[in-house]
Amino acid sequence: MNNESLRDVYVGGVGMIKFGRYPEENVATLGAQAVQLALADGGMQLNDIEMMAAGCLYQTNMIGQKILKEMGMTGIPVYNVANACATGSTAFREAYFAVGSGAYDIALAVGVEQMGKRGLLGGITGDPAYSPEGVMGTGTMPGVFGMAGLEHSRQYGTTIEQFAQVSVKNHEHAMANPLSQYQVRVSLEDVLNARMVAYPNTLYMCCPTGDGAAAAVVMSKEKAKQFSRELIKVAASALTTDPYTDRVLTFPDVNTMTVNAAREAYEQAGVSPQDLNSVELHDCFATAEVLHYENLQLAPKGEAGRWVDEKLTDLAGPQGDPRWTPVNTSGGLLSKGHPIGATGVANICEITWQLRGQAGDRQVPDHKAGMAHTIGLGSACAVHILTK
Amino acid sequence: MTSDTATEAKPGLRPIVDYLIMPNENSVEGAYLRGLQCKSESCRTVFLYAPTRRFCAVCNGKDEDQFSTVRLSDEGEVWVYTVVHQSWPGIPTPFVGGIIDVGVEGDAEAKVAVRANIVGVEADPKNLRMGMKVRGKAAVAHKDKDGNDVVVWHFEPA
Repeated sequence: MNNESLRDVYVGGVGMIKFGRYPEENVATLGAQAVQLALADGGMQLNDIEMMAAGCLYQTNMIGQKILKEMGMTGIPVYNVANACATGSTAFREAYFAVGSGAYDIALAVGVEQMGKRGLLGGITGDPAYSPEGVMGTGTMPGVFGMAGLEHSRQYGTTIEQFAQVSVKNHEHAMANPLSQYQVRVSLEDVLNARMVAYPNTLYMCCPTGDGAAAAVVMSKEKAKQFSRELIKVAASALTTDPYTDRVLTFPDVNTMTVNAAREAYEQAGVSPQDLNSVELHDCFATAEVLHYENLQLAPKGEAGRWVDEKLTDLAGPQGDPRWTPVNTSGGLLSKGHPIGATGVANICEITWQLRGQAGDRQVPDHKAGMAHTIGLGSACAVHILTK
Repeated sequence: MTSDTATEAKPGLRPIVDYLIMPNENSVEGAYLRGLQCKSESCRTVFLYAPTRRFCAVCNGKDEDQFSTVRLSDEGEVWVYTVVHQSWPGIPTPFVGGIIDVGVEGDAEAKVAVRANIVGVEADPKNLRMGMKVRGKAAVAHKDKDGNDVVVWHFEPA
């Protein structure tokens, strides 16, 4: 995509509720809370919003409108978006286009999901007696990402311990994020000895299910100057699907669409991987994070395991090393949580806070550029780069 | 006159996927996997058989007669595997799920990946190896609620 014909778009306000379980709420009441946080953060009113894109995967029935019915029915156009685990990112991208095109000056993206304890990122449809699951392999997400991890082991010798260390890191990062669903410190032994879900991913190497909502307001430069204390630019917005690759119709390819989206995003933004100060990437499983170090060009092909060993993506890693790029400072999906529709917008929140220097004890010093990445199987991959 | 075409089918053997072909109505003997191979010379991609596939997802071939029906080899090689300990309610665990590359009869170059269980070994990674040779066969997995024997295709170490 050529973004040169679009005008510049800025993040004007962000907000998210603490991810968790809210059985007494519904997607509209959760979403409305996040929208209010984003509006308050940006110093604006709901009346300032000219267009809204709402992302929710499991409840796709007019969620954006339901949110407005909770907080203010202003009559603005609303788009409801569903795009697997890239749902929230896709909603953000729609808001970006709404402003980038010049059609609107201020647009709102909200992502929300209420999963309860819905296990394995989505349940079986129909009776198990009619499903190939369990009798002709597995299509569950823990299984698919387990196999994707072993594929990397097969090619590059990546070890189970290296995958597991990602979970240790992201749980440690979450200790400094009060909005994380879990704040639990885990050791490598804890992770390796936890109940196996789908080899090699143990319980702590699988993201939790839960409820959550996040919102972001984007705006033109003129409006951003009017409302915002600091200009945070959406420097790139890339969205891809699977091209055909070997086995992809049988075994989802979690890599190629990320490689393609990242390449496009770097081109759009005119930044290189070395310019990024932090990355929020789609660690739905610990195995996935390792693969994406390479897919997002943070590590050379085959060296992601070494990146783990040298703590090059750890907030507590070697800060002076030019290769050091903290990944998932928020705690990532593994600890912060993965209420599917909210995830992509929550990533934008984290990068925005990092750019503004508001990330508290997890702040990366001198933060100038960050990346937010989500993938959904089926398939959709979104990569955004924010800069200041 | 009622158009009751849904005459009660007698319970029998029911393959769980369209690409598992059973020549014998009363037995899994002779069962095999079927593919569709794109006829475009520059493409030749093999898909798992689906009676409704009209177009080639690789070259966009859209001729009326775009595909040859091909028989897939019983022999295969494990590309990747996992041992599943937690699945959806009602799915027995643990089991070994794999992605198996199988050949195509009549085309030494072509391959297609099949998702299947690996059986005949204890469900433990120490018994499994990526690249291991396996042999596929049909088997009855369980009964469905209509009384059919559900037939699956799985692989054993060769």
